[in-house]
Amino acid sequence: MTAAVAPRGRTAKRKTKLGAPLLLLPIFAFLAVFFIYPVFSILAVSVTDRDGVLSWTNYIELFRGYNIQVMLTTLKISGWTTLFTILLSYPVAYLLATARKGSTNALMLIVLLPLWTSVLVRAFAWIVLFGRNGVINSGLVSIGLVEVPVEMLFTVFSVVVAMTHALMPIAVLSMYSTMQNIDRKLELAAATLGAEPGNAFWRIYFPISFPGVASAALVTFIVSIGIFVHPTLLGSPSERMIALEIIEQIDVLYNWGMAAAISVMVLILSIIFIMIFDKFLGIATITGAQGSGGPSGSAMRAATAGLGTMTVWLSRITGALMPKRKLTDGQSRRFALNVVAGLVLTFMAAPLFFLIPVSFTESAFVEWPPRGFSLQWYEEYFTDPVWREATIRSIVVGLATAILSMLIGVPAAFGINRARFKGKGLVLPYILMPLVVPNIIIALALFYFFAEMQLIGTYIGLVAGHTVIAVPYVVLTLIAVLQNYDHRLDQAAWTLGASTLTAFRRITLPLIKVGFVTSFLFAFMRSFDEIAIALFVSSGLQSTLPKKLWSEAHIAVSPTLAAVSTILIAVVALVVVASELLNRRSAGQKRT
Amino acid sequence: MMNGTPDTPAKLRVHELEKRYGEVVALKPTNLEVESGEFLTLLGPSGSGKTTLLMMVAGLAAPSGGDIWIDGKLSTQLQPQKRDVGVVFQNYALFPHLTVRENIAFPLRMRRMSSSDIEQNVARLLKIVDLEDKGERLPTELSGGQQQRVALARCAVYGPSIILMDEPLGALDKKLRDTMQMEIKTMHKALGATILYVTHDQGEAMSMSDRVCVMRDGHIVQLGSPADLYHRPVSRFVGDFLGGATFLRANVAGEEGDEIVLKWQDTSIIKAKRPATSVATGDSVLCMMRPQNLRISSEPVPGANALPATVIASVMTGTMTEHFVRLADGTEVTAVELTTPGSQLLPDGANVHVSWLPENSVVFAGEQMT
Amino acid sequence: MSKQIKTTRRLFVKGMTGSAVLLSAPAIWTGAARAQDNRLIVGGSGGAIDDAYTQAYYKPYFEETGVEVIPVERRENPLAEVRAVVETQTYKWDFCEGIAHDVAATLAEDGYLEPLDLTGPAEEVMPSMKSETFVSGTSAAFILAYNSKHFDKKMTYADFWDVEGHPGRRGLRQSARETVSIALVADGVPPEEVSTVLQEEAGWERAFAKLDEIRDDIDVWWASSAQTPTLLQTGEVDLITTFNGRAQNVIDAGAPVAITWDGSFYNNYGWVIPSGSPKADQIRDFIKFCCRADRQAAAAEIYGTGPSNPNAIALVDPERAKVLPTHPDNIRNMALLDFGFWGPRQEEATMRFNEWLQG
Repeated sequence: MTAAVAPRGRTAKRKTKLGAPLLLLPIFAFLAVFFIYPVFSILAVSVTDRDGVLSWTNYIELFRGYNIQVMLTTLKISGWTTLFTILLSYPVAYLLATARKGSTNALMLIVLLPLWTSVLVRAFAWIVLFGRNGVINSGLVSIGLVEVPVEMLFTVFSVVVAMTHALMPIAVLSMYSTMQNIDRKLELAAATLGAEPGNAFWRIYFPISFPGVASAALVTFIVSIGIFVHPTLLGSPSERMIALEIIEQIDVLYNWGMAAAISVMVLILSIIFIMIFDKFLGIATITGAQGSGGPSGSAMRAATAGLGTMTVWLSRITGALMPKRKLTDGQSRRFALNVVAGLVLTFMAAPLFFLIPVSFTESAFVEWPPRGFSLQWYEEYFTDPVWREATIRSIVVGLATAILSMLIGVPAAFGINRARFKGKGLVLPYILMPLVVPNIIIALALFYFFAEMQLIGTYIGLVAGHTVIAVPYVVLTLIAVLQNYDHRLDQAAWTLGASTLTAFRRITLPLIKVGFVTSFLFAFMRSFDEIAIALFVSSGLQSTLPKKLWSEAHIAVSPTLAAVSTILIAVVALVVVASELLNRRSAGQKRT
Repeated sequence: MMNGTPDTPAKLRVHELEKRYGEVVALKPTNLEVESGEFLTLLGPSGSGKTTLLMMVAGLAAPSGGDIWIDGKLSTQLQPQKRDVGVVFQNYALFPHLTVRENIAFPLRMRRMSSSDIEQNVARLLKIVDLEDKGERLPTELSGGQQQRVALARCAVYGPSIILMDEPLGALDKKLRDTMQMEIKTMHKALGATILYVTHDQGEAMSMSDRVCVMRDGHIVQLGSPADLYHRPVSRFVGDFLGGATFLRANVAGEEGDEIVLKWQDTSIIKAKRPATSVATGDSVLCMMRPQNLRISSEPVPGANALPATVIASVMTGTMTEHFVRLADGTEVTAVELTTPGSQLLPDGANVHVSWLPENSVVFAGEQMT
Repeated sequence: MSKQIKTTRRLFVKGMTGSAVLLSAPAIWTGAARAQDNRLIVGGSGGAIDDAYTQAYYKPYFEETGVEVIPVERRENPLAEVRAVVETQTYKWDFCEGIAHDVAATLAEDGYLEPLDLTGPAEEVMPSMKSETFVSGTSAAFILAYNSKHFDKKMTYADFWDVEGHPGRRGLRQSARETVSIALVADGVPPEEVSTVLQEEAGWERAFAKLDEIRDDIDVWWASSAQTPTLLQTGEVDLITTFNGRAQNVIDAGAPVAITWDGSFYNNYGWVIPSGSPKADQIRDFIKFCCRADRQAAAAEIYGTGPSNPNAIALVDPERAKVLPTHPDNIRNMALLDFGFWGPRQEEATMRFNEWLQG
């Protein structure tokens, strides 16, 4: 068989072997200039005082009670957010991974809709829901559950709920990607070996899915640390989070050195968390690659086993209490899972829709219930040049980001996938670093860097900044696609007389096309929804849409925001449904 | 037999068991008994209902009707963990996060066995499957055959009443498959286990089983020893499925004692054993011959059926020498003989005769012809 | 240019020359939206003020001159923003509207502002409301606004602190200057003496002690005054400090809201041009236009702030004049914010206030 491989095939193979480092060069250079260097230069800025003189003032200041308190508040809120995000996402991911094919697609739509809808829009929806006379309170009061509205807005509660809501889609997808690879037969096997359902889940399924849970938790936690949108819009200033403090140091106190010192502290904390994670699970699990592992420590093993036993006893007790069950055990468990996951999915998708009625209000205020019916806020959006230009700018920057990300991400993915060379194991962590550095830190680093390069408020600055955070997703998506791709098809094409390029164009490309489109879309959406970098790097008439939405939500609260949100929701819904239909069609073609 | 209560102590007894998915019938009402210590194989093409039957016995699929007894105990509604069965899955379903030792210990742990007993039992099984030095490995660090042995050990360690195997060798290559067949057979004997085995590979079924149950379109077509099925298939389907054969369509011309006389192509007379079903003169029937019973010679063999043919090719494959010839109507026939020093390859295009003894043919009539 | 920027620049430029060359990109990319010349971008106050000014100033100016003025967002207190704009030479807006007099004074002292053209209509502006680099457009009062349906009496700053006597949801500004000041007023200090009391550390301690009393009863700490109309309108708060124009905005929309002027502070808010703004000449012309009596009267009609050009007051509808801070009944018991005092103390006060806020 091997003897049949034509010389052309072998030459091509040798070529890629040599070319692999070359394929990785663009992404290396790009990240070195726009990520590594700026992040390291934060260090330099952090040791200058207000007058730019070398000094430790900022670090002395850092350890005063105030900053420590803000950091602790940040860790507390991030911790709660991570806990709830994981607890709520797990059943949804489990349902997605175990549901029948047809229902998986429908469920996926519910997860994707909030994922693609702007973080700001989703945060804004909670203002309408949580207000003193908002959707929830007026509901509670009208059914007589409470007499006085419950205080929700501007509390830690509202921040944690909204942040959880914001981070769930990513957590669900990340866990789902691990769970997808778990052989469903394992649970059945455990059952035939005598494990009761609870035991089978906790001893077998959960430990195997644990790397996915852990990496979702790590990413959620690190993203939480860098969040400022939700604490600002929904939180109480007496529970300040660190990202807001960084912005305040730049925007209000004009103390660049202090902002840098705080960032260094955040960065060090992030690195500590990542190292802890790496020690126990290995950093590779972040990529969703199925490790052989699972929790290896005996303590962890004991904990999951304990949970298993506990569930078994619980189900026995409930079984004894319930006189005669019509449903079999399996059916009732499935039913419970469906109910829980259904509630969580409602939590994920429903809040968005309350913005729609608000956008048609006649009043000039964002209030619930909306008054009358008017299209004036849509008119405002379509006629105001600032809104219009921000929208166009976001689209242009998004497309440019996606193109640039593909230009450097595609070769990198091929390089990683096909190449065998020394130090390959370090390549992926290098490319994925921007994923585990809080966005606010990247934004601040780029702000210092771009201020120096006179790139603030330019397209180049925005596109480069957005590419830093978009390109890891592109590479991850493409690697996953390429891993599933059978390279013998290429070899077959070579033996059949196709040149390397032709084989790529006629065989490889059509087969991985969906992966390409997905990563392009992903990169576009990362940019289109990006706020931290835009906040520092774009402003005024150079605002992107999220930046404009942000200042609108933060500074001038008008129903225009609801109108723009409604438009975004509608567009996203259209795109998601269209891509789903497209997927189904291409799947159909594959079958025939 | 009220409610199908068993009056013999079969290890497994399936009574009128059926499975429907809406309109689709995966298994028609089926009856089956597996004796203690027996190795019984469900053999059939995909979609024949063999895996469905196995899954219901394991408790992993709920029956639409009928009952299952395991070791004399009505088990139809029992959860899998309450049934005294062990399952070896197609891809083994080894727990990737547990070591070999922990995988094998798992069922014992579930049965709350003391840790010293667990250790002892696991050690015993590791020895049986010859993996004593691999106990601390993770499944991914083992070869396919080794994984298979772990799966067997994990299943056998707690001595279930019956071991169910769902195409356990499907993922292995040919050579390994042959070795593993022998190993499973040896283990079957060593453990004295009762095994219900599912496969679509007839060679595997015949070489390992005490009895084979051939299934098709959701029901059992024939149940018997491998030799029974091979030599006395009840239909063309079974005959064809269990090994190479030539089928000649002919018409009944008359009877002659124990034999019937068939007319083939209006020119030749063939004699054969009388079929199980009654036939009348003029009926269209199928006559089946196995290749090893066919003799190729230049002249007809006296006292045997003989048809003129032309040689297409003649090859020696080692143990066997195979001759491919074409009959007058174009039917291609394969004949094989043991290779001996006297074996000759026939020249292409040579005119020869295909001969066989009447008792070496089987006649199918009516429904049996499908 | 400050020392900070130079030092950091030195730090950056080390070893950066290579990538700098790489990055000297074509102007089409770096130039962004700078190209259009008949366009002035103003950092505005947001919300209803932007709308009012568009009607009163921006649109009429466009009709007269063909130069478009477009408001975009800026920080509530753009002190740091103006510095950053000047030092990084990235003019995200060409000039600024609604800058407080004290902020303008601080910026001018450090050389961050362009001189203005104070001829023509600007000459009519009251001398106390302009300087070489700053012209006030309006006076606005920082007042107490309350839900008149929720409270049946006129609320005072002392009542604000009387949580038990007057229950209701309360909001304060997340800013040292105003919040510290009204704490002292509530503690019995007459508004005009607040800055004198704060000359001593004891005054600060007194203010924060007073704030301690109420910290746990504040439901909303607002950061942007544009939020406050919505907070009042939706009933998120019953009692809140804000600018009189913001409160007037909700009153004009028909909400049951009343204003307490007594004991409040007023300040002048106006126009500044960051140093080096490439369109400074065009802006100077526009700012002169904004000093015109008819334009200021129009702004006051739409949005309740007091004109800086005395000739404008006569042009305002007498009924409307009653709700402007400059109306004699309103201004009588208010004090002008001491910008000489607050200017240099902004940052220190902010840090101290933020720390207090964290408990």
